[in-house]
Amino acid sequence: MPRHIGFDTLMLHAGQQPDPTTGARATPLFQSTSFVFNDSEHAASLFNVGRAGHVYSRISNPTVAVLEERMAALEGGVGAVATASGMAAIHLAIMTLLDSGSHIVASRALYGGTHNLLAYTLPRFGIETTFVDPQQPDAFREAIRDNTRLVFGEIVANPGCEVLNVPEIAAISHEHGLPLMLDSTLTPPCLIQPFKHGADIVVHSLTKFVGGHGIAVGGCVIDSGQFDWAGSDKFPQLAQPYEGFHGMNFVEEFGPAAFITRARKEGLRDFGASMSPANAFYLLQGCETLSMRMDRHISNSRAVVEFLADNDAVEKVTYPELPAHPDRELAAKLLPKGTTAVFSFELKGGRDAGRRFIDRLDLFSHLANVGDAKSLVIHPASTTHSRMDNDALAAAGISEGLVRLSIGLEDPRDLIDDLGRALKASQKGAN
Amino acid sequence: MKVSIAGSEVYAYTAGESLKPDAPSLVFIHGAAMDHTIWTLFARFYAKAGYNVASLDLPGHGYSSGEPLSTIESAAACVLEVVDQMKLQQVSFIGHSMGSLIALEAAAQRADTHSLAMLGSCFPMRVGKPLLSAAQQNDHASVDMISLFGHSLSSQLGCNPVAGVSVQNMVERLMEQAANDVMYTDLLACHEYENGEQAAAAVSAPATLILGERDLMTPPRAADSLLAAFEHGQRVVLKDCGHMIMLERPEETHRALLRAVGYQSGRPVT
Repeated sequence: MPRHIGFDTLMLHAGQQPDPTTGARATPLFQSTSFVFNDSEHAASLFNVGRAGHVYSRISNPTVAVLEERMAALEGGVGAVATASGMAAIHLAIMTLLDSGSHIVASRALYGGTHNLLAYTLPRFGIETTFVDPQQPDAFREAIRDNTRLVFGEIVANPGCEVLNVPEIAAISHEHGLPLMLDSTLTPPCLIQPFKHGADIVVHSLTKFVGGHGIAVGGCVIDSGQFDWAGSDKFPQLAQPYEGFHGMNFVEEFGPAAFITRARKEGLRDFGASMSPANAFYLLQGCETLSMRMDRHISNSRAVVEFLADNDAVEKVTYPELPAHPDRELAAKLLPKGTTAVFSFELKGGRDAGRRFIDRLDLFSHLANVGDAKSLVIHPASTTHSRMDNDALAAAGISEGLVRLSIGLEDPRDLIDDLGRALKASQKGAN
Repeated sequence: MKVSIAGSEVYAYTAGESLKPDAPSLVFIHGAAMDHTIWTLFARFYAKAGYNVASLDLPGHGYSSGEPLSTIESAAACVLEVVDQMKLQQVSFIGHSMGSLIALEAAAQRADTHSLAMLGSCFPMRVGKPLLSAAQQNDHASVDMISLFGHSLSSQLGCNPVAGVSVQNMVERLMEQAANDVMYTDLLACHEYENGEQAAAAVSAPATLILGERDLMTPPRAADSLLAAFEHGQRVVLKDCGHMIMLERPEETHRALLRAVGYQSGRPVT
């Protein structure tokens, strides 16, 4: 029996062949806004979706398309759309599926930007969200209403590392005819392929581990092709004619690719949050080494976690592989190769100790990003989650003294030395 | 639109266009465990060009009700009934894999056939025992085998001109959507079909075989005897292409189909 092409091979090759014109082995950067039509009939056919090809780089671009097809291949989806950022990916997916008056059930342990979108921005457009405890699958069921159209969460939450029971929450979603969308940014597809566990849509901030280099912002939406959009009357956007595209019925015409086709044909056309070809080019360079880098991210993280867990200055380390973590068994089942390299810990001494700790670090960079090849640190309460009030912070499991680390690819001994010096400094003056 | 035939509602995708009296017609027929969506690009192109298009879901597939038909001949009879009920004229039959054999049978039985295009085809179309056995058990291994044997290595890696879409994963999802026993019924119908060369000899219209250079399911050489049986037969072999011709190489297939159905840009369609 032959076998499917392996993950690492897809990581390097999926979506790209040597350029037929120049012979270029690497993916060329097609830094062009638009593409010449062969003749008027060709032009009309491209606009009518009667031929395959590119028209204008807001809708599709050859370099971006390589990244899109590669992410679809790596996640096992039927297709992907790349976006200007991870937040643009979440917005695109939601706007493709939901109308004013719709409702989302979401994990309350989300990236701060996502929480802001769902809690404050989307209600302005008539889309409400109920936030539930990610570790209580029944809470998702209980929050579903007649107008619910989407269930959403992060597989390993940021920064609390709560692990979502993907198979169980997928089953609950499907019982109610709803798709499950997951943000898998912190758990790239070499760690988990959510579609195999029942998810229907995956979004990524490619800025993070997929790119890895910290030089390009981007995101993507990936469609499993498994959800039955026509199985109920909940998704007329996909299962009924759309006047915005000459009566196109996306399910009827594109079958398993209905959702991702509408996301491109409507979402990129009308909202325009597309990825630049240059950023796609940069992100592809990172993507080629994703699984090798993740191996090192994970092994470095484990070394750092072990060090922190034994340090007297540390109150608590939150990492799903530690015996005390409530989701340890679930993490081992869903993420056997490793959970993530972004986690948090709490210093003794609260906010002041946290400030002294961060200011003393040399190798760790204090900035608002994760998933970089270089190790990063941030204080969520005063930065990424600063718009959340105290109750929301507590509900998301974030204390004032919480420090988030994103472990990079450096020599782990140097990371531990840097952390050791900063931990020592954090406790000076504590008395 | 849907056409009632012998207890089944047979769905025909017309690319959103109303049928036009006297316009030439293209009938698209999908392969085993697939449906009309494999032809969407082509259906939309020709519908816009003035053709009547009927991209069918065979009984038991896609939007059509009923049980899958167990022989190529019965499927061809169903297709011809659809053609009659839709009052299609100047008909070109275009089929893929199993659909190519159905198209062949239909073209042979209709003297006024305008042209025939057979994609990913051969005769006889024998199906290996492991695949038949897996399909009979509704085992996902049957989807895997068709996915892996049905796409060239190049296509498995991708570079789809339809931006962002993974052809191989699309094909797998389509086959997974088929009801139990549909794939087995379809594959067995291909395996047991014996009338290929006689049917080819009865086709007086131009016939084009559009084949994939790397097709492991219906290799180009396995279509030699079929090609020789046509009065006006020709063959187009697409480079680096496997069995899923129109999905793996949509632009090359487009160009081959233009010639196969006699379409010329800028001229009134006749």
